[in-house]
Amino acid sequence: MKKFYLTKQGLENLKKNYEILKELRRIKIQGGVPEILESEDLNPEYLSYSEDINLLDSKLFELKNILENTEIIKKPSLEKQNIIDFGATVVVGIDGQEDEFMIVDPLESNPSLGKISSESPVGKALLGHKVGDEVIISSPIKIVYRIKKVKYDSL
Amino acid sequence: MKNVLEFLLNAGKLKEIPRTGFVWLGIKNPETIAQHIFRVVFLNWVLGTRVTPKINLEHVIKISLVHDLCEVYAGDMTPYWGLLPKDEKKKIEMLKRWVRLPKEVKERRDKIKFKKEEKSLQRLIKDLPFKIRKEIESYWLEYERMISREGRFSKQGDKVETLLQALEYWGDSPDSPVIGWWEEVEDLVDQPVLREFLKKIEKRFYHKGNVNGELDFFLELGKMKARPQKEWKDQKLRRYETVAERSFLTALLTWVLGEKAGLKMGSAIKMVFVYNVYEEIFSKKGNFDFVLDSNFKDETINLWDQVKKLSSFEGKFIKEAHWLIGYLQALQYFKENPNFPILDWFKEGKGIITILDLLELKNEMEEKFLPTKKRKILGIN
Repeated sequence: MKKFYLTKQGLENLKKNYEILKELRRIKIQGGVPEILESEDLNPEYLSYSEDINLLDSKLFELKNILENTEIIKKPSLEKQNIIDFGATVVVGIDGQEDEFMIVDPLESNPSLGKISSESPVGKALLGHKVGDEVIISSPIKIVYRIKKVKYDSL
Repeated sequence: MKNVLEFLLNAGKLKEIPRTGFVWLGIKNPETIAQHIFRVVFLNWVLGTRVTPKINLEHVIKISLVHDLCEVYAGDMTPYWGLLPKDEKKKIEMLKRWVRLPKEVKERRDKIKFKKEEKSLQRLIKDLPFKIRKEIESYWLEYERMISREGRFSKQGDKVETLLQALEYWGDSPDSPVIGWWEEVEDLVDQPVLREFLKKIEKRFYHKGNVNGELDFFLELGKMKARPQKEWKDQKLRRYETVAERSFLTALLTWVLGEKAGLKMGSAIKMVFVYNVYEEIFSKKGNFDFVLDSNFKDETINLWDQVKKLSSFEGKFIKEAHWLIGYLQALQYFKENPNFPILDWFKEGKGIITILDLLELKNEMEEKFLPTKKRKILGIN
């Protein structure tokens, strides 16, 4: 079974989403289940209803599976804290600008919140590097990332 | 039914709101938000078919359809909001590159944006039936917070579509702002199918290489963003409703009223997009060279057929909904210009709508835009 490595906050969010979906399912079934047959034909309302419920059930199943197979990311040992790994908050210099983000599991990623997927080109390229390294991302224009800081304080 | 009409009129405002980033960067008559949504739906649907393990495409299509609805009232809040200098030159320079900020600032800005957009979405959908409202909210949240595989895929596809549009505007010119969009997707896009598609985009635009016809299909769809619906071709109008925009609003109508009517929503919304677009692209060209995946080709031709031949309830519903959204646009044109030939539409509408909920909506539209006084002047009843 695949393991998911999430931050504490990431796990909390996932639990919240699970509850939202459960609530949506509850709302869907609240109005009662439509009759399966309408005279001798399958009732289209029932078909539409059962499609929706199946969809929600598969989402709930997927989330439950993730929740059961998640491990919280732990801080690496002191000597490894200058190396970029899951959960690292990285400060990089890019063409005179400074950017800061955390490298996380794809499940938790959301660049608008400063969380970059470990499987994105930037995340992949930075993993394993340390302060002082230069990493080039090139599709299709070369962009140099100069690693200035690596922190694990928010874990 | 008034609630549905108000919803459609308000959501329809996205047909008139241009995408801010392209306006700032000097594109004349850039795409509207509705036009962008149109191709995001197609791109996420077509590429979504190849994702493994499978993702739910109905879910993806609905997420794509609602992802920017919040912009009706919140406007198009780009990542640059509140950051741009007044000096025009400096502003353009900043817009050419991706926004780089401390993590804590990103979180703070996202919170403000999220609240504004959430409020805007709730205002837009507040009078819709409870179940649909909850569904729209939850889909939007999945996109916004990237909280499901479908939500993550849809958001990534959304940004890939914007990059493609930027390349269509600027091409590979080295000093163009396209680099900013590349930087964004390098941070965001980790989905292998989308990564592979980005390689094709790169090959086509930067190395002038041949890629398979799928990209041609999306580029052809891009033309539908600005192509006027054929009903308007003989009219002089302030702005023309386009093929993309008709599809966008018809899909929303189908969703909102179709559930109650018992439509199989998965195929019904797909049918909306296929019908309008295939009528435009393939009725004239008569070939399917663009669409290489045979399953997709077979599925979509079948959906197109169901509308043309009215061979399923969904097909019949879509044909009527498509006409009704056209009529709504005609009534709005008439409101702006009393010389608009609304009489033809009114007469045509007498026998065209047979589905009860759509008929009720049509009556509501006529009550709003053609009250008794106006009908008397026009000599209609």
